[in-house]
Amino acid sequence: MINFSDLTFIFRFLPVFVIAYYLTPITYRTWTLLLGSLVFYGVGDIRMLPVLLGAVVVNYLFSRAIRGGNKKKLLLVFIVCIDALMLVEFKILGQVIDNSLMPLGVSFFVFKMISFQADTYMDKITEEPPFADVAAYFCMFPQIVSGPIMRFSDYVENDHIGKDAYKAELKTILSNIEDGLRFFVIGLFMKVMIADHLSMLWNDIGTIGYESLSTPLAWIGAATYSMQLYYDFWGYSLMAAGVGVMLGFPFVVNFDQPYSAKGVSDFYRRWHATLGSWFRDYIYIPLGGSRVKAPRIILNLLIVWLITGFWHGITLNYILWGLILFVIIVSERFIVFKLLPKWLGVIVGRLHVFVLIPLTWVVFAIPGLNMLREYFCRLFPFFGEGIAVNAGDYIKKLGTYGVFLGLGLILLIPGIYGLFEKYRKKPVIMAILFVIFWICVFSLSNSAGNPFMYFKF
Amino acid sequence: MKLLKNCPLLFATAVVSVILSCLTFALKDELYGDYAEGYDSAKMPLFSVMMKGMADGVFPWDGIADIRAIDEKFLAGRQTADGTEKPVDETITAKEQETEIKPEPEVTKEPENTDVSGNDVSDNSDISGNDISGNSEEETYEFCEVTDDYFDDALFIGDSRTVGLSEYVDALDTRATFYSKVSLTIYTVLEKPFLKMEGRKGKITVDEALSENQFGKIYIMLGLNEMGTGDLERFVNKYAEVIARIRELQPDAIIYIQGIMHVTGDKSDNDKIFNNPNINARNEALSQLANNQDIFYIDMNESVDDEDGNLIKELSFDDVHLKASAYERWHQYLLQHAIVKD
Repeated sequence: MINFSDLTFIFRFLPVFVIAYYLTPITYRTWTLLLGSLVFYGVGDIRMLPVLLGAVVVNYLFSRAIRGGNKKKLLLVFIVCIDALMLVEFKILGQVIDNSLMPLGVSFFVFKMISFQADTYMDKITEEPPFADVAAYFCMFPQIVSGPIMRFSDYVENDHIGKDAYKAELKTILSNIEDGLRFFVIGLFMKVMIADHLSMLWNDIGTIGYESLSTPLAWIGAATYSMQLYYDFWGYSLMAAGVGVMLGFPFVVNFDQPYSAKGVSDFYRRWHATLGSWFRDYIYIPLGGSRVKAPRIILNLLIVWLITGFWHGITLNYILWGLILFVIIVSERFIVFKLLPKWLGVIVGRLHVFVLIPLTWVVFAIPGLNMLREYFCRLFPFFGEGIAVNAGDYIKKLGTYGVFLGLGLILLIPGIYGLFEKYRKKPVIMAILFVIFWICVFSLSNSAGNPFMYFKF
Repeated sequence: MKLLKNCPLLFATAVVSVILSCLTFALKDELYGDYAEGYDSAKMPLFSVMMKGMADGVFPWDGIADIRAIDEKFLAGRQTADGTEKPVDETITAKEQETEIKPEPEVTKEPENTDVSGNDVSDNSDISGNDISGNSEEETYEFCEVTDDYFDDALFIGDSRTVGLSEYVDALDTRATFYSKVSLTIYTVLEKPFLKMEGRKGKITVDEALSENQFGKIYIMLGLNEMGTGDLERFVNKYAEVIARIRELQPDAIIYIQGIMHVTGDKSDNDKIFNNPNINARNEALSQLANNQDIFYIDMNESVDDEDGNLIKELSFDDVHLKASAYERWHQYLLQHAIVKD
């Protein structure tokens, strides 16, 4: 149920919650949000619910103390260390002992907590928020599992809850829900119809065995995984933002056409933007950002990208992934966009986005170094290692999955989503949304309840 | 109306959900009876049942016609005489018949065959199973090694694993015929139209294809997908039924029942359904279907297993399928375990 693309979420939890939310008198609405979110979390990971609750209470108390005055800085450093340690500890536990020891969404709620403490310290949160608001902000179900990492300043924008809430007309409420639903449906489509199908292709590629891929299929695989990750996460983010909009929160942009970026650093301003801006505001800038000398900038970037790698997971491939991105970004900053002629810089920057980024995703995807080596040997078959057992394998896979790859490629064109966003209230677009919603439901009905959805033998 | 103007998408979605739910509720006992079985209301909305049916081409209007027909019968029954219950009975009998047929093929099991050893490749010496059965008029066959041209008139029937065999063993793909499909099961193998024949429109079933083409050898490996549904007995009965039908259609072919390939130890230890003890139980039962005259049991697991009887970890990425490069082991096994009749 904790997947937004789960039919029980779409047809049970969400409608029931939205109705309960708006039926609750304004004074208690925050509590409804908090309670609903805790139920949601409990269904997903009841064992770790106490961890979440504990973290919420401790962070609330510290934020009050920081606001209180004395030794603000010490308190901030202390609580940020506690939060960070908690995150690291659970990541290690989850990795070394058992995956179930990692609380659901811990990477995201801890980052929200740190951002909340820092914002309190920097007096960005002017009025002291009551406990229910702080707790609801940390736990709110549209964001608890995988973000987006919304700031508290966006949370208080909501006119339907909190101290300044006013009684909205039914019309406003309905148009909120309607607009949220539009984003939800387009996100659902990306997730269910594109990402989930591409992940089957990626799994097929693993089944063949990386050492036996034909080189064309290895490249198709790199594109497949890149797009799968993109539409899975972008789709999720749209669904999450859509649910937020239904509840009256501002739309949180998490993906802004990353593949239209001019270079890798631009790419990461647009990809998972709430994570990128978190790193910018709470790590990079406090370290001095770009207002320091070149060697120090490089060091700052190294720190940021190492932590980004660790944040995704503590296996070697994530660290490697972070380091590679660090190298590319430094080279862009100090060579490509600085020393090369402008026209050449533009071309190299685009090549980085379309060739290097997919290759970095391959590193991101494959945990074992040996398997990674095998994959790259098939991508670049100059070393004569490995052999395509069936040289025509890619033709067959294109036949099966061509439609989904095609859909993914079409949606890479920035104008397509732009059109949806601009004209989403027009009848034609609404009719399309209606149809694709039911296509998704149809697809989900035929895979739901079947644990082997991707693994029919 | 005002509501519709403000939120047409929400409104339309809600209305359609309600309509679909009502329709499914009305049809769930009759038309979608098969799909409603095992439906868990905690896991999905009711109309998923209908959508599952629709994926198989069972549409609500078929049901509306059915209901009308039943109603008419019902009314007719009332008018003529006392049989109020009658129409309901009729619909049930159709299902009963289906289940009644099943036990029948058990006859094909050989009661005197107390030991599997006849097929057991391990003691494939002169004292093989046929001596135990003591049937003097039957010939004794031994597995021997052959070359690839043996497969010129061979047919392979199977699920995704056999699909893999065709994709990654060129020597077989260019010689033999493959009637294989991902997620194929013994329950649907003969009736499901999935074969595309050259120069013909549409798809035909294995049953039809076997009526039209004759083969010298038929290799079957099915049974993994079936482990989640139905018990061992139902599986073996159905398997025997399928073999009997193939025998009828292909009187001269050597039929090879292949034991189900194992999964890796990791998978086996962590899966309640798809584990090697379950596979072994089914293989044991399958081996009994062989008669060592024209139906043989072979088990390729020995070519891919580790010492604990699990699929070797390095040979598989997803713990279930062989990697492309590992299919050669299977091919080699088949080359070394062939029956040649003069």
